[in-house]
Amino acid sequence: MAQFTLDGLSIKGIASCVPANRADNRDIIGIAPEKLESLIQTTGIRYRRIAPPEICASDMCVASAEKLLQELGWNPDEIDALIIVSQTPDHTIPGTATQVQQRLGLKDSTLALDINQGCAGYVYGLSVIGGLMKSAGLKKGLLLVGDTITRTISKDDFSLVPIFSDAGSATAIELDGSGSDWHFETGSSGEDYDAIYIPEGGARHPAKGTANHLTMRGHAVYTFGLTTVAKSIKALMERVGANASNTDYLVFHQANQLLLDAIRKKAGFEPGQVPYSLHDYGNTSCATVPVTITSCLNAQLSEKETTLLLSGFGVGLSWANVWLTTNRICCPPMIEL
Amino acid sequence: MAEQPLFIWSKCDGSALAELSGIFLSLGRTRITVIYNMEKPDQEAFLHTIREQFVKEPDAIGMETHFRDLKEWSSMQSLIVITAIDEEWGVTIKEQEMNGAQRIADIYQLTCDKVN
Repeated sequence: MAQFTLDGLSIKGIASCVPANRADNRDIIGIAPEKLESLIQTTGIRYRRIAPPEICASDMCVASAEKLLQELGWNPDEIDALIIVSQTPDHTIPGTATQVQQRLGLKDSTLALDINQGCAGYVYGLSVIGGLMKSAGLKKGLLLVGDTITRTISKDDFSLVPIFSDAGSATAIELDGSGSDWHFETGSSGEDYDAIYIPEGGARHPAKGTANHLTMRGHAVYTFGLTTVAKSIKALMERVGANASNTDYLVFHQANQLLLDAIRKKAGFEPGQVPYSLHDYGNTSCATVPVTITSCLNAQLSEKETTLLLSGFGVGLSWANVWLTTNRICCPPMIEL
Repeated sequence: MAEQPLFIWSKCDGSALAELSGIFLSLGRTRITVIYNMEKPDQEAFLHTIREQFVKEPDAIGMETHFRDLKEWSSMQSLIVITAIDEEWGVTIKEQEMNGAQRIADIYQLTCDKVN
């Protein structure tokens, strides 16, 4: 596992955006009602947000970024780095970051880069943009994280339909020398690359139209969470001296409630320290951590210094955790598009 | 002179073990190796834990029950059972291992093997 610390960086704001179109898991046709209720109870997911065809992940990220720039009073010309994390880019070629750079009116000298990452993507994104800003002396950066993952799912796959949802987010970061240390713990397990994947559509297996939907081996992902992820969180906590007393919240990638409760217990956190956005927003892929912060913690983060342990894990398989403190950041309410 | 290794063979739980280790550390030991010996799950206790995970007719479930034939069985139910075992005995049954199991007794054996 990679373990490292970045200093001198501050998160200045986090904004998230979801499609206005809301689906209710109770309305799913094809699953017996009693199984549906059990599924809702176990996963914790009642509602999902589904982007219509005209809305891409980048649109929700741009809406979030525009809101943040406006609220923070940042001029687009000040942004030195832009990273977008997504598995559902606007086009296969080119990457989405350059178009977003133009749409946000950022200067030509902005470093603009795409990262293909999933459920661990928010924390990985923080590590990459933070590392770049720190090493290159870039003062202000935007991390955009979002997916329209529901587009990759077959409407007949009742193991995935009730879970996944769409969202985008933006996080404003400044290299100002005043922030807390960001302590990271990251890892990868490519042996199970096919535990969550789309078999066709890449260069290795071009699309033939027979296997171009997302598939997931739920059991493999679940036990990965119970073992590897729980261990990595505990390893980070041990290394940096984090515990449930000096950490306000443990914010998970929103996989499902059953799994997150089990990991929470292993990490020694109380239920009230682990916010869930699952009920209202489902599993929004790489955007779950900012979506959870926006929907559950925006008042807290706006008003108080808050120490957070953020944990993302999933597709790859990969995982990334970070322990950091925010200090009265800009955290507007959820945006709907 | 190098410190002689100290091994603790333990059947106690985590907090008691931490306390025990603390005593040895306070006596000047800097390194302690713990050989942690979990008890093999009691069959009745195991069955009780499994039954608790089912809402419908849990008492009809026995060690010889073919769990995949239960109406309540689903991939999600499988994860609920695995979570209960993980929390109770600290072992995680993996996908391929579970695929080979048909009866509750098979899951019990998997758990025993892992605990040992």
